[in-house]
Amino acid sequence: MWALFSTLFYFLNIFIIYYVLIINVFYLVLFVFSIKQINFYLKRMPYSEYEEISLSSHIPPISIVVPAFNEEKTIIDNIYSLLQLTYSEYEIIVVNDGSEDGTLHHMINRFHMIELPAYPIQDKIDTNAILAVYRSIDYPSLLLVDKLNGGKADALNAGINVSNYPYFCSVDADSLLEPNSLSKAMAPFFEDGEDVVACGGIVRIANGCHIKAGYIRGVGLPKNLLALHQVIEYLRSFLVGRLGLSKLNNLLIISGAFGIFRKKEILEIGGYATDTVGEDMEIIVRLQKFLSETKRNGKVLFVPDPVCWTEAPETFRELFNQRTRWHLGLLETMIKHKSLVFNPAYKSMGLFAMPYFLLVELLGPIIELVGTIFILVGLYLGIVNIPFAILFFSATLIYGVFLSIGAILLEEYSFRRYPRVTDLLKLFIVSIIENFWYRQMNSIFRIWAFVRFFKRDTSWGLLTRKGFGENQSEKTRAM
Amino acid sequence: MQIVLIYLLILTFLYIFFVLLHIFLFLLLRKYYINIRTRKKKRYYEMIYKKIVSYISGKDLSLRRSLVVNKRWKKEVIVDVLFEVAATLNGDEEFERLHNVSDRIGLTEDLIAKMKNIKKSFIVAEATRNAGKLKLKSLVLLFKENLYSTDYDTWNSAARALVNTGCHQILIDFLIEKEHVLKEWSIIRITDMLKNISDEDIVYMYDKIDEVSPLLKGLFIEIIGLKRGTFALFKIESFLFSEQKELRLKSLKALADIGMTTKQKLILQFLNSDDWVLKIHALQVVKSCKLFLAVPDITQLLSDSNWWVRFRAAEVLCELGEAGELALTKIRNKSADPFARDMANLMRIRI
Repeated sequence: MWALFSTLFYFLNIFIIYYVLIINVFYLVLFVFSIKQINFYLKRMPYSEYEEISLSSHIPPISIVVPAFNEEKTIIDNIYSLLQLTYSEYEIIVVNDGSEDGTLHHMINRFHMIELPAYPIQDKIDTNAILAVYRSIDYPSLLLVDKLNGGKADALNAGINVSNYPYFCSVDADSLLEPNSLSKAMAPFFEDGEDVVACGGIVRIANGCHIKAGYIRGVGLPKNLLALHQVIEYLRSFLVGRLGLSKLNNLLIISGAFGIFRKKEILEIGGYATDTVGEDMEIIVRLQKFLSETKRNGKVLFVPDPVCWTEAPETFRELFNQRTRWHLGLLETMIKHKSLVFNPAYKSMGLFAMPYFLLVELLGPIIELVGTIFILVGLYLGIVNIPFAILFFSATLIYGVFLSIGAILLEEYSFRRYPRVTDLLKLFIVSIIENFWYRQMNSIFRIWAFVRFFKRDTSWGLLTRKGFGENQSEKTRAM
Repeated sequence: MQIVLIYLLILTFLYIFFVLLHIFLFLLLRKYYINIRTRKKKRYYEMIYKKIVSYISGKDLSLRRSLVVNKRWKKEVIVDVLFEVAATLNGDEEFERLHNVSDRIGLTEDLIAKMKNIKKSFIVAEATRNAGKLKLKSLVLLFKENLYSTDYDTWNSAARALVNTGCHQILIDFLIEKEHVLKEWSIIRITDMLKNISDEDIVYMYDKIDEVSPLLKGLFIEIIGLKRGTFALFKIESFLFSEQKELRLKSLKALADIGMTTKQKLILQFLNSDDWVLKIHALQVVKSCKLFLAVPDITQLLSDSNWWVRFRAAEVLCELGEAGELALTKIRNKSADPFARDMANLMRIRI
């Protein structure tokens, strides 16, 4: 028994060493490509024409779809931010997905909305029943669709059915877009030589920012430690992960908070899947798969400049719910599209992107946690020698810090949205201390997704909205 | 072997960590430095802006002799001021003084060097665009050369620079020459840039209308309409009979912009078209040309199946004076169609 355990332990050590090497290579590759991509973007920024383009009457109009469930605290500010967008022509479609709070009521009153009987809806995607469609008298391009609850994906599909324009943009109801975000995110669709099918912008944390009437007046770091950790996390995820994958044309996720899609292809693949909580990733994987199988040149891009500001959870409970949901979405997507993994027919998506998401993003937390437990058990049983244990933990720590500092470096080199020197110092300190507790906690949260998967628990959990610029909080029931 | 690997791994990452730490400290100091520099730049900007504007407007010509730029950051501020001011200037004399300042700080020379010598497309593109912003007409030949570049950023910037320097005819000729090669969106982009062309160039564009493809025809008509080219009225109206819907739409749009038409009965026919887009465009012509005889047809449109048609029809009635208001009141009170009554009421709430 003892010999078996020792042997098992030995092979696990080997496995973990090679695993750490592999994921480090993955991240190094992504980091290098991210630097190249940001460099390229920054070089083109001085002569970018997005401002002129946004005022042109020839650019394709866009439907902005905002799925909303119990968003009374944030929806008004969200709509105000959308009404301030500098884009020639667009419509805003808020889809009230059976809210149980005052979301519908607030919208109707604030924007003077009237019901439109017999509004023509193209039922290209099956959704739950739509109860009514409203239009604002003050802003005729603002529509409100009231429907039976069906989940976020269902709400998005309903929005697509109601939309009139060839492109649509999905925006979360708890997010704010900067006035030029839409113009900047649409720019790749018009540039010569690229056939862009979907494009995502960066999502940043709104906590700590000064917001008024849906407009970001001043950028700042959150005071809440959990939210502060998430600032680093988002920078890492977007500026290292997605930028690198975009450069390789292997982007497999566009944030549901802010993404633009060409409607034609989305309809061809049947819209958003309602059988997963990770609909934002699942649709992109399916889209990439479709483009590969039909041998189309369409690209899915990430652009680092157009910004969407979103509210991050500030309590452990909410963070737990969010992270288990995200990881559950990833797990469901990977299982659904398992045929792509290591499949050479899908070229770099099959041989690089999907394995990356499987080995690094999906299984990473488990391997890390199991490795840590085995080391501790090994230490206790005297199988592991202390230098080895120290070396292992140092490797994990250094790798984690490398990624976080790399993300901060990219941010400082490029957009510098956090203006103060103290902000940079805070981010640096947080990027180190997160490796001592936040990452491990996150890993545990993400592992719980597997438990939820086996329990078939697809609920969203408790959601609390504070609202932008206010400190009120009111608990709402879970979806 | 295992330990060796681990040691190698750790050494590598320790090395990376210390490198990153040094870079981070560098960035920290850099940020501190940038913040101080930004404040300095702001103070210098406030001071130099007034002087430059005074000089360019001719109020104070002493700047030409006194302007000494011995620091790079000062030059950057002055360059920003020049770009900002250039966007607001009109007269040749003012531009001459602007170019004097540009020459004095070495900006013109710098731009020419970048446009000619540097093979990196983003540098050429940026220099071209900046030269265009300053309306450096002496560089038109360079712009024209870059217009034929295969690199998107370069030719796009060159097109913009030509527009800024008023050389629209070069762009029009380029469009006609390349319309079968360029992508549709590129053609639309360039034509978009031509929206502020001069009256002389509008005539040049008009003379070329029969030579070009339907896509360009439509775009040219649109620009002529935006510029209220009444001399082209009959030509524009001839496209109302085109088999191509897009040309009919462009023609309607142009007539709405011009605010004049001789084909009133034909416009009324468009109001009764099956196509809601044509109806909307026809409504815009009615509104712009104040076609009061269209009131009965527009009244019918308040019962249209398309919400936007009903909405725009009601809007147009509001714009048609007493006749329109009477029609709306009648619909509000007496119409058998609830959609029409709703829309008429909506207009009343809006007003």
